[in-house]
Amino acid sequence: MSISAYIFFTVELGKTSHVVNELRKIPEIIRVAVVTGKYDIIARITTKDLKEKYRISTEIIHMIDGIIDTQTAVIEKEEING
Amino acid sequence: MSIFVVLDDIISLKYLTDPYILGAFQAVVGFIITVAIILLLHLPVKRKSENERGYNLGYFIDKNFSRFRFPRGKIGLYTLLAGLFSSGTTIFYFILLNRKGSSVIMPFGQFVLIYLLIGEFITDKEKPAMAEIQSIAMIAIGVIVASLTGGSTGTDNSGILLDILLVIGPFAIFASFYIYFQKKALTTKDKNGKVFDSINLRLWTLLVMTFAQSLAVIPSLINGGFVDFVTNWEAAMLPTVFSVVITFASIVLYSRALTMGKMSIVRALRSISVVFTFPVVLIAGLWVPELLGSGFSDPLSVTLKISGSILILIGVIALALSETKCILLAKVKQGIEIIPSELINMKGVENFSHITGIYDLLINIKMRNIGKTLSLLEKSIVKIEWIESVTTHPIIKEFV
Repeated sequence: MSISAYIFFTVELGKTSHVVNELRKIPEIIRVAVVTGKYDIIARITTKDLKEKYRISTEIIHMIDGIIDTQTAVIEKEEING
Repeated sequence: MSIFVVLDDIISLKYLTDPYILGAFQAVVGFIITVAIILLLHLPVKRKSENERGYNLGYFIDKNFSRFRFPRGKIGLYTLLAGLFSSGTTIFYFILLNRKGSSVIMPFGQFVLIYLLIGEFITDKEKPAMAEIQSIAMIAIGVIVASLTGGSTGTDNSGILLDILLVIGPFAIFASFYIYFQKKALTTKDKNGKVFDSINLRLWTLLVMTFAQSLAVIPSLINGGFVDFVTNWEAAMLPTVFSVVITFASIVLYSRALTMGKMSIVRALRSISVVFTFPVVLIAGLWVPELLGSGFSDPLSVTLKISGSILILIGVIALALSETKCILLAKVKQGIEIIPSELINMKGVENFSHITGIYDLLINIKMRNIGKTLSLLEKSIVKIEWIESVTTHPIIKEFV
């Protein structure tokens, strides 16, 4: 069963576009939002399992230049309007 | 959309000149063809594996479609009302098409946005933002400028006022209610918690339209229209079939898009058809020169028509772009039951997720403007008993 999670990014000043472009290259990342507030970018990822999610985080996302910090929030349940 | 409007214009000019007869003829042909298309959409798609759920072709157009379904209860009422208002819109659409031609029908159709917005202002008890006032003014002035094309070159301008009144009056009002009930029918859940699909909605609204149009055509048939119909219906059949097939695809996909919560993109994309109609009319004019008629006969008319359409286009796009999206991260109170319906039913809340980590909920919201986001937060979300705190993250740019 696939899992989905939100990843909250804190990004180095001036590196937001670079990080966004790199995140968009990852097929498992289905949404990237540049936001204002506590975090700089919020992305949504869907993988086949947690092991795959761990692999993408450690081998691809954490290697992107400009990322200061990430926090992952796994989606337990979703409520959709309509 | 531009293509079926131009096809309708050709049929109206060459074969069935009475708008009521054309409307009824299209409704009857449209209903038969729609039934045939829906039968085709029942065709099963080969499964990739034994364990995979079976799908049919219709599933790829609308994931809520499985088979012919009769709308019951509230959904049935909304479908009936959508059908009745759609009949009214269609009658006025053909009257306006007959009076003005296809090149201005598309701009006229955008006027409905003004009523939809006014409806929202009233229900939300909110004042419009400056950007919304500007957009409304642009659309309204654009409609008036585009209307001027017909009579501006001659001495008889008496028809212009009637055209404007028809557009801002019955045509746009009926269309607003049609869109409203269409959305209600598609978003209301039945007893089993399922929502209706856009393919069945099109079928049943078309059935209501066929009855209504058949009644509306009686006076025209009695007053000599029957002879005109008997003489020309065969010639009108082929373009009508093309027109209703394209209309089916356009309306089903549009209603599907309406439920996906991306109204801004839907509106912006749809408004492009306002200017796209011009090249379609020009190309079709090589085959049917009458299409170019008075609207394209002199530079002033063409300039006014294009200027009005561009004003409307900019107005619609500006309106769409003023929409804002926001991600809220919330913590919930310990020991109090979470009632998801209190949050999910709030206007502007698209969805929310229960998440692990520092925060308990991630809420995706979309509002008409940033001011309304503040109002949603202050007046609704923070008042929910089980929500402890909320952090707001307005989206500056998004890639999906």
